[in-house]
Formats: sequence, structure tokens, C-alpha cells
Amino acid sequence: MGAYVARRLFFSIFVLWGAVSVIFLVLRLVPGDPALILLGPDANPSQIAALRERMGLDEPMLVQYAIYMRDVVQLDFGTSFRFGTDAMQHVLDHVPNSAQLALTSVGLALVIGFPLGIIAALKANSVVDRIISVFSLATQSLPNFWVGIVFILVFARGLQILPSYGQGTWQHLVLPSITLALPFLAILVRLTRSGLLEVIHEGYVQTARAKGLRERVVIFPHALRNALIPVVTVIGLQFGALLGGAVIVETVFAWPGVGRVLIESISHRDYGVVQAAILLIAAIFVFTNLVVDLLYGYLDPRVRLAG
Amino acid sequence: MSDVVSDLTRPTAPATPPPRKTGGKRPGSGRIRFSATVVSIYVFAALFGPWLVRYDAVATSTPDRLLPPGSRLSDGSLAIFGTDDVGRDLLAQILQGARISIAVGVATLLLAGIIGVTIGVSAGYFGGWLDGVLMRLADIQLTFPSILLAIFIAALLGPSVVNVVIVLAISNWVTFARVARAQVLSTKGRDFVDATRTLGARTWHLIRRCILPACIAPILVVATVEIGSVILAEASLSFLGLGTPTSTPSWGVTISNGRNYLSDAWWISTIPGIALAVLVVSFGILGDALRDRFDPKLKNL
Amino acid sequence: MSTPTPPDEDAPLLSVRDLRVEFGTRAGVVTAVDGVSFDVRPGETLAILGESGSGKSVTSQAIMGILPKPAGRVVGGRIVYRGADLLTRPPAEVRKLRGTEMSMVFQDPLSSLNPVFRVGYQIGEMFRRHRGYSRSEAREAAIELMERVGIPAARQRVDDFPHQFSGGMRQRIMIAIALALDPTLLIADEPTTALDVTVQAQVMKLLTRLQREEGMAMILITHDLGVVASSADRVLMMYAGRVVETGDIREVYEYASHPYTKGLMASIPELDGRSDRLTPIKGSPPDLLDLPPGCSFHPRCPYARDVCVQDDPDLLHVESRPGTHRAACHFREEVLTDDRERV
Repeated sequence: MGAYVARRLFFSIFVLWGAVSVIFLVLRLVPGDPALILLGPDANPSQIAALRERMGLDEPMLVQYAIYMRDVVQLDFGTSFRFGTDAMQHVLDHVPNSAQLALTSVGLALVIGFPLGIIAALKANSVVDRIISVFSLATQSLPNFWVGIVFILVFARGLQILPSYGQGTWQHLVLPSITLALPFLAILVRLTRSGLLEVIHEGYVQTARAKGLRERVVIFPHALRNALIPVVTVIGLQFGALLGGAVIVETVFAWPGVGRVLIESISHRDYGVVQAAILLIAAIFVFTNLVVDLLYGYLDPRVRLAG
Repeated sequence: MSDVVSDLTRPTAPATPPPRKTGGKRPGSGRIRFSATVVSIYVFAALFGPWLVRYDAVATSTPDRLLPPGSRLSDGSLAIFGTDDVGRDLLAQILQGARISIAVGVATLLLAGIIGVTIGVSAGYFGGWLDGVLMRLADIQLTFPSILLAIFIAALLGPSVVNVVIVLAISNWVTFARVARAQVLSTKGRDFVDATRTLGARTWHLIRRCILPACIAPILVVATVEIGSVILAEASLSFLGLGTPTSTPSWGVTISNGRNYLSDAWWISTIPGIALAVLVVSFGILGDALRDRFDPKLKNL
Repeated sequence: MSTPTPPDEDAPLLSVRDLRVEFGTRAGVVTAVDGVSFDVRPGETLAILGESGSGKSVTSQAIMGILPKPAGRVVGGRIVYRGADLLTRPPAEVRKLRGTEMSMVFQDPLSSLNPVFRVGYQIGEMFRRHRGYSRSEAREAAIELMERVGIPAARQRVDDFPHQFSGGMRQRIMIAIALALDPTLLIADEPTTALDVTVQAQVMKLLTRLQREEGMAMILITHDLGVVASSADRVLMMYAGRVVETGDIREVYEYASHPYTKGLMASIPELDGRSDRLTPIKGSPPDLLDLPPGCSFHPRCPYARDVCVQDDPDLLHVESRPGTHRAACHFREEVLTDDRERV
């Protein structure tokens, strides 16, 4: 297990390093002076000169890269010219809001998605299964910014039972979290269904029946534990889509999270904050995938013990 | 082992879905026919629609502002889907939007396909460290949420149709590279390739004559699977103000624009969204069906 | 089960009568088992022999009540265990018999063991779910069982996973699971087929030793004549879902009265030679979706005449032989006395 954890940890750091380097590269490949881009249109020449100096823009690329990496390690992304505060701090201030939204959505998706997927698999090809499949296919392909708008139209404007945007009461959380959960939920349903159908004819499920175990025991620990292995991997990958979706959903519902900070900073050309937000989201994503990988190793001993 | 009984007890039996009752003989032919028809209608509408229903980006007509679907316009024409906040016909906007969505989708996949196939074929053909480096790169990019990368690059480049294509191509080349590489590896081992090589064929000739033709079918399948999500990504970026510029009537821009008038004009955001959803769902069904029929193993890529 | 064990020693433990099992496949419905009848008495070993597709595995799955659903289903007959017909009993009651009264060992121990659970858990599950043992009690019981089936260093290995064991050791674990609750009937479905030749004999020896110690009855499904010869009391030959010949093992081996059995015997040089697999007889195994009319063996049979194409022979006593020797062939006496090895 130790070797496995170490390997996954190393890979995660590697991915994060890759993300940081891509940001560095993109900033320098894009036409224009990086210092000018970072400081925004209203910066005065002395500020630009100071930042150019600090970023080492007159030095060779490698030196610039070293300076940049040093800053990243110290979580120093400069100051936000809009707020005059530390860029990373500004982003971090909005993390709790995003976490609230994302965790609620993931929770909703898991609580609804797993049972639906299991029901669909156990009643494969029945009417119930068909309904669940059509529902999940539709929700997976619907653009979530549009779903959010329709929700606002129906529940906030039409029925007037829920607030349309902003944050505060639990009612504010309902529409955004459902919107964000839907595509994730759809994938979860489909994966759980196919995963379970795939293992239901395996030898060990037959063995479990031959052992005289109750059908509930045959399905739950024996079949499901195996069926979950591929599901968990995809959940990890889909978490990236969820984070991307969060950016959109936060914008639609004016939810004061990291995603909204990101989009607002982009429209104000506050690139210090943009950089910090992108890296933070990337870090969250990488960390989540590390957790998922470890969970995968826990679920499948063949992976964990493969040296 | 050709054990009839164990064959019987395996999931071939009805526990797994039997071929859907589609009326067609081959699996998924009903799905393919249905979704291909819808897609064709869109393509047709995108090609010829804007000729039939004129759309003028800068024209404004104050008396025709925010008219609901089915209204008569001041010039006597009928606005089936209503008008937007400056009095432009929504149907014309949606047709124009179809053109943009499909054009961006196709252009993105072409670019991503060229990048991906080039990288995949080089990695597969030459192998060794090049293969290692390129495929690790692909792994990393694949684990990384592509929309984030797209947002970042789009934010720096600014909104434009060309930039959207570049951004989305960068986040979509990996699948093509993997498919091409897998195809090269399986083709490379075949006898006729060996034979050609023994005859003294040069690398370029081998790639062009033996390897690329083998890649075409799976690449087309993958492209169909991907185009729906590319169109969706374009709409998302445009909705966020990072895709097509606000002067372009893409679906994402129109939906975003309609958000300001939700109380007075529900149709501005809703109807283009339906157009988008139907197209994406159809491409999704078409892609899945083609993959199931021609190359089920692509599912894992 | 509600019916108490009959005091009569010779009463069959299991009695299968006219069993019919159908399978729904994409190509159509096949009758995988067609009118099979046999008895198993306490403590005896009945071998069921036949090629792939002869219905021997399906028969055992039907007895255990674990036919793959919804594809396979029993459409006729009775499976009477200790006087009660399992097919008419409530499923919950039959389930309680599985693992406690009748157990099963499968062909491939790797796919039969759950890859994500420790072997100790999988063995101990029998004690926990059926006997209400605590976790630690079940674990101790599992270690004891592992020692009994000859797994070295059982205490160290109880927390290992199936993939960490060799094929032979995995099959020993399967045997431990099957024997955990001292069943009265063990069904072993090709227990050695998937194993290395070197460990086949060891596993078979273990099975017969444990059977003797426990005094349990065994249905041994195999296509390995050597295994049958060394460990079975009686034999049931199956072909295309039907029983073609049955009787005591020596009797059937030496006085084969069905052309199919005879062909198989001829294909091995000596009866007690090392376990030769059945070499298929000329012609191909029957297509269950399209069985020939009459006797389904007739296209491959050197004795076949017109009557064989029209009439499907019943399983009847071989008159010239004593005892319970029966064969399903119109010309069983002729086959028995014919010295030629024409097959």
C-alpha cells in the first residue's frame, strides 16, 4: 500500500507541476507583455516596470521560470489590482462558498445516482430501466447553463417558490446544486448500471448464491463492490467536469464562489486573480483525484498490491 | 473453449439488453437513422437557413422589441420564435447560431484531429522515448479538466471564433492521439506492413499507404462521439463571454443575452437552448450507436 | 427442511426426475437438459460425464437453484432432496439449504472467488451468515478450515486476497468454503479442469479424502475419464442434454452399451492410464438449437439405422447385464457384445 500511495502522490505532484508550467508558458506565448497583462489596463508605467523587474522579464526564460516557480511555491500570485489585496487570498476567501455548492451537488448525485443505477441494473430492460436510461441520457447532454436558466424561469419566476440567485438561506442552494448535480448524476446512473450488469454474471456472484447468501448480500457486498471499481475511476475524472460546471453554475446563479471570481476577474482583466483561481481549482482537482486513486486502491486489492 | 453451456450461461442471454426493437437488422440502426436525420436537418438549416430568413446583426427595430413567439413584426413578417431585446428575429439568430456551432465543431475536430493523429502516429510508429513522453503528456492532459484550460487560454486570447477553435482543439486532441496510436500499433504488427517494409518502402510511404487508411474509420467514429461535447463546450464558453464575441449570434451568446430579460421574454434564452440540446443529444446518440456498431472497444479510450 | 430424514439407509438423498431446463439465447430457446433422472444416495459419488454442452453443468446449477436468470429456467421435472421437491419450495427455504446441506465447487477458482475480499472473509462468511458467528470466531474457524484443506501457514495467509494464491491453493479455498458447514451433498463441477496438471491429482485426492471423512455424497462433473475411474461409484453419461448410459462405474467402463460411451472408452488406451481427456468422437458435438431427429447421436453413430432417425430411444435396462446398468440405445445389446472398435 505504501508504494502505491507514494506512486500516486508523485503523479499528482507531477500533474500539478505540469499545470503550473502550462500557465507560465501560455502567459508568455500570448501576444503582449506579461507584466502588462497581469497588471491590467489601468496600470501606470512605474508599476509595470516594477513587476517586469520582479518577474525577471529581461532575464532568460529559465530564470523567469525559476522566479515563477518560487512564487508559486510561496503561493504568491501578486496583488489583485481591483481590490489591492493578495490575489490568492481573494480567491481563498471564496472557497467555502464553492465547497458548499460542490459538496451538496456531489452528495445529491451520489444519494440519488447510486440507487437509480442499481434499480436500473436489477430491473434491466424493464419499463423502469428505460425511464431511468432516457432520463440520464437527456440530463447528461443538456447544457447546464441552460438548465439553470430554465430552473430560474420555472421555480423562481413562474412558481416563485425559490430564490433565483444569490446566497443566504438553504433555499438559495437548491437550484444551483441540482443544476450542478444533474450531469454528474446522469453519468453515475449509467456507470453504476453498466458496472453492475457487467459483474452480475461473474463466477463469484454465482459462488455467492451457491453459498446460500441472501440476494441482498449477493448484490450489495459481493457484486456492487466489484461494480464500483470502474465507477470510482470515472467519478474522479468527472470531478473535473464538475469543477468546470461549477464555474458556469456559479455564474448563472450569481453564487459567490471561486468560479464566479474567476469569470469576473477575467472580464476585468485581473489576471493575478485569474492565475490564482485556475491554479487553486487545478490543485483541488488533482487532490480529489489523488483521493479517488487511493479509494480505488482500497476497493481493488489487485491494484494496491501490484508492487 | 467452445463450451455451449458456458456460452449459454454467460451474459449473451437476455440479461444484457437484447438488440433493441428497431426494425433494423444490425444493432442500433434505428438509433442511427433517427439521430442522423435530426443532424441532417440541422446541417441543412445551418447551410440554407440564413438565406431564407435574413439575419442582420446590426439592425435594430425598436417597435419589435421583445415580441413573444408567433408575433407579427412591423414589416409584416411573422416571428415564429419571437424577437430579442433589440427587435431581431430569434429564428434568424438560431439559424445563424446553428451555422456557427456546426462550423466551430467541425473546424475544432479537424484541427484536433490533425494534431492528435500526427502525435499519435508519431508516438505509435517511432515508439521508444518519444512514445513515452507524448503519451504521458496525453495522460496528464486527459486527467486535467479541459474546460479550465479552455477558460484560461480563452481569457488571455480574448473572444473570437478562431480562438474558440484553437482553445477547444487544444483540449480535444488527446482522444485522437490515443486512437491513432492504438491503430498504428495494431497495424504495424500485421504482415502486409512488414512485407511492405521488407520491400524497402520508406517511412512516409508506409504511414500514408498502410497506416493512415486504417486510422480513418475509428477517427471518424471518435469525431462523431466528440462533436456533441465540442459544440456544448463552445456554447458554454460563449455563454461565459469567453467564446464567440458578443456581436456573433452563437447560441451561447444569445442564451447569455436573454438572461437579462428572463422576466419579460422567456423565449430568448429558452428556445436556442432547446435547439442546442436537441443537436447535442442527437450527436450523442449517433456517436454511441456508430461506436457500438463499428468499434465497441473504442469505449475505453 | 420440514421433512425429517428418512431412517432408511438406502433411500436416496437426492432424486432428480425428468428434469428439463431451457435457456433463452439470442438465436432461440434451447433445451439444455431434457428429461434427466438419477438418484444420489448418502455418501456415494456419482460422476456425470459428457462433452461440453451435454448439459452436465446446467444440471448441477438447476439442483443448486443457481441457474443464470433470466436466461435459464427449469420447465419440468422434480428435484427431490430428503423427500422435499426443491422446485416447489419457497426460494428462501431453498436458499437456506445452499451452503449448509448442499455445496458446490466450481471449475475456475480464480473467477469463482471474489477478487476484492480477503479469503478469510469469504470462508468466514459461511459461519457469520449461516451460523451467526462473530467476526473473530468466523476468522478462527476460517483458519482452522484452511489448515484442514492443506493451505500452509494458514494463520498468516487468512488476510490475503485470492489473486495472491496459486491456482491449486485457490481451489482448496473454494473447497474450504463449500465444506465449511459440513454439507451432506457436494457438487464438484470440473474441480480440476482449470488447474495445472501437477496439482490436479492433489486436489482430487483432497476432495475424496474429505468426502470420506465427512461421509457426504458427491456429484462429480467432469470430462476426465481417469478422475471418474479412480473416485466415482456410479456414472451418468450425458449427451445433448440427455442421459445416454448409467450404471456402476466398473460395469459401464467394462460393458459399455451405448456407442457414445464405447467410443469414449476406445479413445483411451487403458482404463487406469493417466487421466486422458475425452477425445471427441468423429463428427462434431450437436447443435442444441438444431438437434437431429430421433436419437441425437445418430449422425455420429456407426450403429445407426433407420429406426435411430425416427425413434428417440428410452433409457432402458441392458437385459444381459445384472444390476442397474441402463442405456439409451436401440441396439444396446449389440453394442455391448460387439468387439469391433468401429467408432
